[in-house]
Amino acid sequence: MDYQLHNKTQKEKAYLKRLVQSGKELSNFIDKKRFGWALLLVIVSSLAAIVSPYLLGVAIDTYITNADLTGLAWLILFLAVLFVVTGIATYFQQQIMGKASQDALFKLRGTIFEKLQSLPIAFFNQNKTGDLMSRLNNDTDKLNQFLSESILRFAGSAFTLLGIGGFILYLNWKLGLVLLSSTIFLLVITRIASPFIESSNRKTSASLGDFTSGVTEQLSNFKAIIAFDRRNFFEEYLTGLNSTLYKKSVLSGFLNQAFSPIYDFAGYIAQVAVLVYGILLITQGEITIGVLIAFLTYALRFYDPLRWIADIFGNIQVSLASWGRIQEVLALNSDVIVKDNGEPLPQDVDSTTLMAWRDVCFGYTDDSLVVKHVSFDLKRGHTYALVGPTGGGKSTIASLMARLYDPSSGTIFWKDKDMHTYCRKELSSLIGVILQEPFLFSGTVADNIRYGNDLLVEINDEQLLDILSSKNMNSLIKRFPEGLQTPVQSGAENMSIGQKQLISFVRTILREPEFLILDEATANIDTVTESVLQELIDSLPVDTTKVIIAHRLNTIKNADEILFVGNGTVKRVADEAEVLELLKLNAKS
Amino acid sequence: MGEYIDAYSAGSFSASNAWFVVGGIALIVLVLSFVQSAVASYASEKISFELRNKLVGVLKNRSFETMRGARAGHLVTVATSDVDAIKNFVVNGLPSMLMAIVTLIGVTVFLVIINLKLALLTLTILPVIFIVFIFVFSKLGPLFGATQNNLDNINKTINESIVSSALVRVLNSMHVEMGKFDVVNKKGAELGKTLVTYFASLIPVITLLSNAAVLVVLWFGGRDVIAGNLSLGEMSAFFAYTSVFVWPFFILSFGSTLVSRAMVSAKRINEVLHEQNVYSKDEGATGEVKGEVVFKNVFLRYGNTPVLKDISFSIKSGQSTAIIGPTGAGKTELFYLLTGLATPTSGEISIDGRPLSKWNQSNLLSQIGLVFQDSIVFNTSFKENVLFKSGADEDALSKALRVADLDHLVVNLPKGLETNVSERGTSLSGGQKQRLMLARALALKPRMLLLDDFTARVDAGTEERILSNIQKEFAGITLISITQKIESIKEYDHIIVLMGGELVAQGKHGDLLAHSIEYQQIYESQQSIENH
Repeated sequence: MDYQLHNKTQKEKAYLKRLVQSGKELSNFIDKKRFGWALLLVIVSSLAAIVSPYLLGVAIDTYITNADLTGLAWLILFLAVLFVVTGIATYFQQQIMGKASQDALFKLRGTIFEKLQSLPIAFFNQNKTGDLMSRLNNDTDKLNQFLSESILRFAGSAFTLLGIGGFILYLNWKLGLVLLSSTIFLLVITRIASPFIESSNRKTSASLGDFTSGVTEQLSNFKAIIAFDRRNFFEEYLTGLNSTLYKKSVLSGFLNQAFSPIYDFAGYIAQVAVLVYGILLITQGEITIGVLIAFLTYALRFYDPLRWIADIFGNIQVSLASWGRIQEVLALNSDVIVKDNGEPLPQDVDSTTLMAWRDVCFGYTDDSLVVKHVSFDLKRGHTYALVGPTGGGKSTIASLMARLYDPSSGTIFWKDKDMHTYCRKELSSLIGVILQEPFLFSGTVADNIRYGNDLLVEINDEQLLDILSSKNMNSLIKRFPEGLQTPVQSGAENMSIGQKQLISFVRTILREPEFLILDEATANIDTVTESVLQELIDSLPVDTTKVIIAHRLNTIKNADEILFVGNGTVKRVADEAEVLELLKLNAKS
Repeated sequence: MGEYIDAYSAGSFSASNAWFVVGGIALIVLVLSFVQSAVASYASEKISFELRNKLVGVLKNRSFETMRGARAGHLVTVATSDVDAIKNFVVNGLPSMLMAIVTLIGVTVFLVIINLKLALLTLTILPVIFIVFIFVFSKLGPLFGATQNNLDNINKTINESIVSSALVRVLNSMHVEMGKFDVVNKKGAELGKTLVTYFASLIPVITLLSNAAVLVVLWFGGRDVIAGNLSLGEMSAFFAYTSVFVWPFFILSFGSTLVSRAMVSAKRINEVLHEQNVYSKDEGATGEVKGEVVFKNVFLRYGNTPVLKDISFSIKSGQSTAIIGPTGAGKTELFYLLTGLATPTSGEISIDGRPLSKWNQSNLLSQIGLVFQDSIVFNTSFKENVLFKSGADEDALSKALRVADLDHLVVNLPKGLETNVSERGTSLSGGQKQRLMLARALALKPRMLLLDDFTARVDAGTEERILSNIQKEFAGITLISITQKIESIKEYDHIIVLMGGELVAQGKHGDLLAHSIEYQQIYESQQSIENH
């Protein structure tokens, strides 16, 4: 399945439709009750802001001119109360909306991360780490700005705008329409320009994602940069990504601010239009000069909130672009799902069989199959060796056994049911896999052994050591300079692959799986230690089924059956001689 | 406008004239505003561009030791979020704050000119506002610092959860990852809310104080006017200026958060820019490497942990040397020392009789091919992954591919050499990645080849073929190989046995088998196994 994130604006949907839809989707992350309160407070404080200049005028015109000190004192007291109330309202509005937006951000990030966790491994193989990080951090951060500031300002301005607009039409609808006509012009321009500006912001966000990916990748592999004297390339490459980012940012930065001058311009033009038309109306005797002056004052008032909105428009485009990138992740759904009804168990599979493959095909991409029509049975308690040339499909088969992927066609049966019908938890408790590329989390060796094992979470290091000793695994821990407390750096650069494999091994064996898959699990471990590990494997309960992939042919010696994997097919072979013959054949082809 | 209305009253209004003049002014303003936006976005983006480039330029020269324990998450935050904070300050904070300060000074001057007494009364709010600023500022700084540090942790958590995705799915431990993310995410939200609390109180307090000044003027000014000490005109003018007073403070309080955020980020950026770098590119002698390696009493320690202890050996040019020993013995560190990825705590390492520090690093590294044990594959084409170092040519490429036994594979790739391979890609198997790493080293046409556990993921037949290819096509090469398999090193000129960071024995296979208990033990462990 295609999990690749493309960074493309969906062309098929109209801009406005998408805007409304994005608003709706985004509103799921905001606490609407608190938002309502904040909006109410905004209205309160903006009303106060409109009233107070008027009252100050009254103070001068009425009380001071008439030398009425008592009246002045009362008015000042009233204003003081008004200011304090406004102050309190502003405080709470900021407080409520700020916290609500932090909560929304928290929820949003949590939701994206949860989505990442629900997606199958194929998704991670197809996308870059840095880009995902950028979506989770930079893009949500941009939405945060939108949520905490723009949205309320937008609402407040729209509120004022509607009020004044209505009032203007009430005063004189002809002159009102002239004034409002430029607004329509603005709406049209905004409508036309917005998709373009959004797409420019989208490109900037994508470039930021690329830059983040570049830095992450290069820094994570810095030792190769040094050892291959690739420092200059490192600089060239990142500088290149940086300059793409720079070019895109300058353009979108400019476009985001471009609304304001246009809105200003429209404001001026509207005033001239009102003036010219108004004077015409006066000459026709329809209005008085007083009305015209009032109109011009309102024209100014009207364009103030409009300018605010223009300011916010840029921000809306940024947010829309970021939301698009987030939405792209959220829209993906895992195709590795638990089904209620699976394929019926074939007649020839009995209770001695742990796993049965029937005509299984699989490819990482749709156009080429890596596993081709494979059928075989694994019997309980048996040990299987998977051998074959590199790139023949051994690891892929192991991944399918662990249900990291689902077959493109055909069915895998686990015990008596279609593997699709088991919940993940059940499977993972029964199947232990040591992956070819071991991974360690930053922390300590003990943290990594405990990882993902519910039984060990509450246990301290000493108790863990006791458990390991009782299972004869304490000698392995001695390979680490500070034992269980040996720190693991982020990226585990202070651990060799052999050491990582040791920890993975201990972690897996402690889970006591019914079915153990070792994918070159000990490839980098020295042979002396390996024989210790072999003893540990041998001491597992007799009904443990094992699948071992290794290049060292000695694995064949301990195996009950040998499966030769080459070219996407699986063939049961009799002995080493046959394996060698097949390998030779394979090398020639 | 006023003039036009006056003109109309005077009967000299011309509509076309009004259109022309006002429209013209509006157009000029429009163009100027566009220019201003263009300059603002250009300037701010230019600054972030230069900052990021400077960071890259500095990181480029870092030693592996300073990058080890890779705080990649931290460095990524610095290069993106911290640079952004500076940019925000430059584009949103700096110009308006400067304007605010100029306005403030101008208004103060006018106030003083109009009426000294009232001016002094108004200015009493200044120290109060100043104290409020200092208070909030002192709180915001650490909070922003904590926020950025938390962002590092968020990045690290995301990064690890992505790189470990396969393991997490095998163990069905998605809830563990979500738990980890929840902790850092919650911390971020808490810090954000605390910031909001300070920020939310700042603006109303400042506005309230400025408004208080207005009321003070209204009361005392009003009394003076009534008493006849002040004209109504002066009072109105004074009043108008006091109202202007509110705005700059509003801007300053808004800007102050940008300043304190930028200061925190500037500090973090500076730390990265000024950390000690050891790499100096152009120093040291150049020349062809023969491959004579001498370790003399070399110790290596990371912090308090000893990694290598008193290692001494010498390797002759053109010889094959094997390093063998248990997991965690410090074998890989020997290679790190040779390639400048680590520097000895004490002791001396020399190549061709010249101490490593006296070599031109670039010159030396271009002749040493190191094949790491872990596969490092970059998100780019197969070809670029092999021709890793600039300057390697097509000839070297095809030879490297042939020797690494990759030529068959390349032919079968969907786009041949131009096929993209990826970091966690499924496009290549473990063994293929391993051989890609070898090809990368061979494309350098190296004089010395360092193989770190190369044979671990390659089957015996392929291994044999590749090694004989190397001997044939790269005659005279000095080969040092870390390995686990005695079978394949029996004929080697020199075998070094490493254990717990100490060199416990060295010599040829026969000698070691006769005299070294450790070697015998390893040999024994492989006797039950027949190697094919």
